[in-house]
Amino acid sequence: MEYDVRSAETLRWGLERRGQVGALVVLAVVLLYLLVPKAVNAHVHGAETTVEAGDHFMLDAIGDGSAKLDLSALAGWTLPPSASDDSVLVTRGDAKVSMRLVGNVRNPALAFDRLPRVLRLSDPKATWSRTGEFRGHRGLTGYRGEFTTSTRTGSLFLAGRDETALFVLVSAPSSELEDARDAAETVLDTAEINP
Amino acid sequence: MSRVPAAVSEAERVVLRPRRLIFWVYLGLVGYSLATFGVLMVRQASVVPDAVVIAIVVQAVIGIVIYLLIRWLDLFEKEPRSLMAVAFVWGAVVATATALQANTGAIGLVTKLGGTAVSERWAPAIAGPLTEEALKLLGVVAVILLAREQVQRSLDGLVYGALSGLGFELVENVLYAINLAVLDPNSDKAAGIAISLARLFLGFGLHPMCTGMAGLGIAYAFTRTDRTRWQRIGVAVLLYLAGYAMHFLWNSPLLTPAEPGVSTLGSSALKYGVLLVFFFLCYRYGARFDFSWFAATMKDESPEILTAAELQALRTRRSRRKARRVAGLKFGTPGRHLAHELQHAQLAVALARECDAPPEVLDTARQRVRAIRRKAAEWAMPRRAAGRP
Repeated sequence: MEYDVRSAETLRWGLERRGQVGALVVLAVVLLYLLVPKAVNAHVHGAETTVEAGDHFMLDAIGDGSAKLDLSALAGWTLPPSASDDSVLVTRGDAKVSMRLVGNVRNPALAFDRLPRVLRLSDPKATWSRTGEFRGHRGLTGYRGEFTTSTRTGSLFLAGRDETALFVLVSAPSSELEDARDAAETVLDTAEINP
Repeated sequence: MSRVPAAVSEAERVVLRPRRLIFWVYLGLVGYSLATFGVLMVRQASVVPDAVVIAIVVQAVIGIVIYLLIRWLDLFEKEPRSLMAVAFVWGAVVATATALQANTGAIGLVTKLGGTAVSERWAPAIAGPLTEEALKLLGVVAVILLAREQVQRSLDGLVYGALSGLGFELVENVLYAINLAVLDPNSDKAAGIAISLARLFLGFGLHPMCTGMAGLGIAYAFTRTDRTRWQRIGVAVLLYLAGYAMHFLWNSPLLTPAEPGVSTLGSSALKYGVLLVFFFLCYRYGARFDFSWFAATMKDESPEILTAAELQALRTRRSRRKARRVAGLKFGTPGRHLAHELQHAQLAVALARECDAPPEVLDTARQRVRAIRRKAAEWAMPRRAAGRP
């Protein structure tokens, strides 16, 4: 209905005085939510742990499947707490190794082509390619490859058994990439996957 | 049978208020959100187009169904569509874009402070309601600041809250489809269908209901000027907390067994049942107050405009339908249509009175009621003369 018979409007800055405080409160609350949680999160330091030789990490895939990772090859790297138990991120300076356990992998080649698309969510220029096969000492099989984004290059692995596989992304400055890749490959090679 | 023209038309220009600061705040926030979150979402959607198309189609159907339900709940005064769109766009664009940023920070914080085990189980329950409920509710506040005169009763707040929640829910579901499809090792289409069906059967209308409750409280605080300030604030806070608690319960592992399976569905059904009961109680309160308003507004209208029996018949949708059915039994389909028109005309009289419409508008609304009664009498007379009921 539009029968809003208002008294003469009091103006400030050419705008009605009524409702100005409310409008500024709405704006302030939105800004608060935009800025404060991120800022607080950035300033709070979590319980990061340093990986030591002999450390193990358990992953549970969404659905079925679990994996036990021996992180000895990444000793000295930092392990920040993860938001979910199907993935883990290990860092050392600018170098990162992320590992995610994926269930229901019916066609590993197809999965290898699909899973790196996660890079495109943040960088549309991301590209990747398969460079060869992966065969681990514990019977894990899959593929290896490389990726490039606008800001970094890295290596990819997908290896597993019986429809459960580990998807590994390695990124690091070029001088550290080979070391990081070797360490990640060792972790993958020694992983115990239970479909 | 020719339709009697409507006496009071829906306002078309309730939204264009460039002299109100909230108008510019709203436009600025929508523009900012589209330029940041909107662009990001389009870019992400281009990675998994099949899943996004499926999700959008399913969400469009869900959106239409929930929108019709919201309109259906609004018995005495349909809110202007333009203002409903304001609430919807707020939820779909501003609330979603801001919540995405805020949730990232909040979940990160829970993870840092609680570790993976706590984060995995509790982060959605802690972060989701903390950020999303307030942001969606701001849509109702924006509507009230933009067009205060459109929010006359508590139920109006429920309607706008539900629409803000609806906008949020639909966009959130499309985002879920994108994320799931990207992580799916086999197929975008399968992922799109899976998440769409999951959201259809689990948590259908969760956000509209939670924000509807909180919106009812905000509108109560603004409109129930017959209550003390603290009563109004108290009710608004309680209803906000009720919506918050429902959202928390839904996202939390409470009542959820450790092992997934059929029992998980059972626990989801139980949580959903609790939510439905709370929402229905809130709605019932709002609808009852709407009827009290209608009865009070029309109490000194002559029986020529509204009889006591017609007043009671307008109380609920069921009683209205019953009155129309009785008219249909007596006078056939045209009688049922006329009874329907009469009910709408009587509601229009109440709205014209409430809005302090100019006398000629109120008079036109009453004339419409009389015209429908005359038509009904003309229709009934030859039937009675012919000995038909």
